[in-house]
Amino acid sequence: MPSIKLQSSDEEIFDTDIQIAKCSGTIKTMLEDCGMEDDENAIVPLPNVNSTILRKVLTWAHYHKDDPQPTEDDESKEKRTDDIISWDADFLKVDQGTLFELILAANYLDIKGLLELTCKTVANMIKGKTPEEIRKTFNIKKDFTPAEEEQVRKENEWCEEK
Amino acid sequence: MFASAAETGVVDVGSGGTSNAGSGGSSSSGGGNASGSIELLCPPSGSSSISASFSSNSGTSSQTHSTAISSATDHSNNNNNSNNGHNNHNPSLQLNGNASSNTRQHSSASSNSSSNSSNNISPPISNSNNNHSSSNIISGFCSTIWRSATFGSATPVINPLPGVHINPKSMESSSDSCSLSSSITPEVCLADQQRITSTQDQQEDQSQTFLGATELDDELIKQLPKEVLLRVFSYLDVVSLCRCAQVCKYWNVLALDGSSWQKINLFDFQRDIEGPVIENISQRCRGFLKSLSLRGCQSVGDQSVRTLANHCHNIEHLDLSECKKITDISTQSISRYCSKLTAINLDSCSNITDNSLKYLSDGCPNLMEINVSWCHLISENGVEALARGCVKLRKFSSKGCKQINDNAIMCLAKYCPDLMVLNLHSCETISDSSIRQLAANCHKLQKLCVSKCADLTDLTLLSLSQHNHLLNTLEVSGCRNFTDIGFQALGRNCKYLERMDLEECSQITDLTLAHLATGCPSLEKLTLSHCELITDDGIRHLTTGSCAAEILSVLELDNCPLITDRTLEHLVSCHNLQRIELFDCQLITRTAIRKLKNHLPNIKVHAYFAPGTPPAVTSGHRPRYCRCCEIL
Repeated sequence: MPSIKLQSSDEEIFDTDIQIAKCSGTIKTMLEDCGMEDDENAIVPLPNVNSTILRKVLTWAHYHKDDPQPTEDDESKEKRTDDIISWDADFLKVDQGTLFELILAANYLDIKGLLELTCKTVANMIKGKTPEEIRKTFNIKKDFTPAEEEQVRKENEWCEEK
Repeated sequence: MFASAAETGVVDVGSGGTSNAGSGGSSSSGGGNASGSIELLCPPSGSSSISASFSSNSGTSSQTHSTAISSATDHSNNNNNSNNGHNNHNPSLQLNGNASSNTRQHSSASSNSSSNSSNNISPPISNSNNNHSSSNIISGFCSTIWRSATFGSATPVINPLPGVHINPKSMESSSDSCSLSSSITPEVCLADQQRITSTQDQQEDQSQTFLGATELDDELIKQLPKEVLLRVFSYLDVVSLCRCAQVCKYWNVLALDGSSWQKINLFDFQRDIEGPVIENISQRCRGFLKSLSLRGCQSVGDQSVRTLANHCHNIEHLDLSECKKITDISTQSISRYCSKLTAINLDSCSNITDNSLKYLSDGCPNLMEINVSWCHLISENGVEALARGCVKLRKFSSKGCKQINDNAIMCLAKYCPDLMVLNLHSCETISDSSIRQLAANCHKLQKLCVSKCADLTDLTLLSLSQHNHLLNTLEVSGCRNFTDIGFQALGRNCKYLERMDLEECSQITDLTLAHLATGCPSLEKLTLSHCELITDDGIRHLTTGSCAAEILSVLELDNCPLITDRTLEHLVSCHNLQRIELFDCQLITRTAIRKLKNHLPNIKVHAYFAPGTPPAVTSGHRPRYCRCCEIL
């Protein structure tokens, strides 16, 4: 199985199966457009992903290498967040910082499945929480003035149970 | 003994583009008519319920509102301007720049999604939103920089400007070209500034605690670029979105960004939806809004719809079913502003008259789906106007519109050749002549419901079998004139039939089943209730047919007085059978049902055996699910 070398931002080299690497749209395009596929020694620089995160990303990609390609239709489907498989759930038992970095990496590397998974995970962290609980979860500062807060609350109260 | 007309009529309401099968189901019980229903389940295991499994075969509808962010690949947006400026000389890195770095592009990209290519409008309000939020992004960015400066050693190299590397487009489009060109090995791999090496990273074991949770750096989530946060929000329901809007100013802007609200279903909040909410939503969504369901929001009136139409010009799917207050004034404003409308549901808006159809005909030439069921004022005049103006019409539903007559159907047949789904339940006056013309002109017809159109005869079935080979759903409940001859023809020519409701086609015999068994290998759901001539022999035909073993999943046999336990023995070979209805089949015994369940452990058997003393609630009524109704 042909492999390629991925280089993380901290210059660690990851010898990676080419099929696995290509689950990243960014790497795939890079390889194809730059004709690097046949070159065993080619190094693909990934200046926005550090080795820790890249290692995790590759672990994920390895596990999911046989997943079917998501189709275009998926966008129109009802968006579910309760369909995360247990392996993925375990995989994402990480602290928030790592989770967000995985999102950034998935976004940058254009790995649709991982981006979907991580975003769903964050969505699940939001679901069912009150605004205050959400702020607490993500350490977000409330920057509304009391008047603004009241107005915002009023605007959105229609969806709350009475 | 079933008031089936009313039942099937009500069960549908779900309809509108966004509502899923589940809510369709719940609506049926909410609809009221099913209230007296009792589903006593056959013998001991009382576990199963009557929940008919709606297979939400989205089929055609999915095409119409695909909001894939994809398509429109504008890889030309190579915006290397931001942090990658110094990388521009590097061929291998130009891909980074593919990102539409400008956050605003993302939202407009997502708004462009529809199949309608003329949609490139990014509504003004969103611009202002975006300006606002991009300033927020910058502040987030600053704090990120600050953080990486402070915690430099422990912080991974964070993409310095969030939002730069995002390419929502390429994210969707799995690149298809596999051309392997050859060998450019990039020598310059990394921009120097990005070689922030952190030795700690080498200790990969620490990945779990990396950037440990103890780090009290606030608002880690701010490092997520806007489009990623929007993506997160895209998984949220309206309640969560409204709560996110109350978190902080930045989230307020994002959560209320129109792009998060392209498809809204307010059915769950129908009691709480008052005019101001609609107006608020209209103003926030503006051109983003593609699909809105106000089903059952009874306080919605013309004023709200006018505001909506005024602000949301790009709306494509609008469900106003059971908004009983609205009148022709609403459709007039929709007609004036919403020319992109493709689907509208006016089910049970009983004030709607022919004028509404005229307005829609004038202003909404793209209309493909309309439901005016139970709008009893609608007559042939309105339908004619509609048909003339909306020639792309694919679905038309006018259940219970007693004024819809042959002329109306003939107009549809004449002007709307693309018609695929037609529901004429209880349009009692229509006759063979109009259906024959329809059959001859509308070859794409796939689903037809003419239940309770009791004047129809075999001529209807013959012309359908002659012209409409794509037919997959046929509901003819209560068409008592149909005989084996008609169904023989259908069985011969309509091999895609999946669902058939033949309730109370009281003349048909086992021969019909024999024809269907040989001619319709896709038959999945068959209703034979009150077909009183059907015997075990007919069921035997059915079970030896090509659909029996793997396809047939629902069989309704209520009030077929001649069938006996042998029917159940035959059915053992139907491995896919999910549900069977046996109410008032007097010759069926509990023992036989138990045996069937032994062979098909997952089957739901709905039967009723009178107890010694009569129960308080009368038996027999059960929700009936009409495929057409679900769809329309």
